[in-house]
Amino acid sequence: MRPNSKTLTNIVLVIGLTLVVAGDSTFITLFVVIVFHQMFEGIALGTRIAALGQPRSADSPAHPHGHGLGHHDHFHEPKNSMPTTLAEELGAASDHQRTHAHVHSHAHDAHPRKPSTAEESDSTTQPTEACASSHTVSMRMKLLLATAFAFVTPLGMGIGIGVLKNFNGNDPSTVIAIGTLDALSAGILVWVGVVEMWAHDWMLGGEMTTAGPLRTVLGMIGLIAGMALMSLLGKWA
Amino acid sequence: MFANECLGELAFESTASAILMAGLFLSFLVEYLGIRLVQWHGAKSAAKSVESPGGAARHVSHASPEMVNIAVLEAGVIFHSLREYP
Repeated sequence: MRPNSKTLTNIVLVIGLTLVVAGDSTFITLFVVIVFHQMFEGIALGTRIAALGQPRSADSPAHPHGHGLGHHDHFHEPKNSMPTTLAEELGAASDHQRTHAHVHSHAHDAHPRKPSTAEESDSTTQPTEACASSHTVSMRMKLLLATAFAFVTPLGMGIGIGVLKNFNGNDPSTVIAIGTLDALSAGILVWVGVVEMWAHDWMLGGEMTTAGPLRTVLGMIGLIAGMALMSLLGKWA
Repeated sequence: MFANECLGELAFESTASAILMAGLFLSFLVEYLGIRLVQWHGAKSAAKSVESPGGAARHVSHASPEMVNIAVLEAGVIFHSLREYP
């Protein structure tokens, strides 16, 4: 086999899970681990996809009128409110764009604020706006996102079976390809997990930013349990 | 994975960390550019709907920063699902 096609094969092979390569003794363990891993991941991704298009913190029952930290309760500007100045227009646009816009809310204080009556009307019209906005992400799109996740692992396993006879787990170029992909996806997941989910949900205007004690404790337990379980799976595999 | 003895001595010890940082930056870049693009589109259509009230409402827009977040998240999850287990 020429080096080029060999490298290509290795990269394709990487897509296939090593589950199909593993021997019989480790198969059951690996299978259980994969099932749990994919289940946790599916739950996490599924809740995110299901929550698409809905304001995350405004519907918290304990704080129906937003929170003291900023003006991020303008999740969706009512359609009939016309911005008067350019600054307001930009602010309104970005407020609409960024669902929990703490970054903007800080910058916002420099802009001329609307009178508080307007704010009141904003928060009163908010439920209907939220309902309307939940349709901006269609069910089809959500199903597409969910299906993409559901099919990739079996597909990878299928490809893995297909190229099984070419597998050499100690071939340097294979090892380099696998290692590079592992490290790269680790970086992507660190970004998404730490910045997008952890920091935003807990501190930067997400659902847990102003949650009550019970919610916070439950969320913290869930967070720690998730880390512990995933670590256990990592050790187990 | 880079500790595999078949690779021999690595020229750079923290290769994996460097690649991890590359992935970090890559996903940041994709998400950042996506959000800037979406915001730019939003501002443009907002300006349009100011010109003609009752026209195309910007809420109809399919893309939102949330959507960009989810797309990057899903891409990351899928990408690491491709090859996860040792």
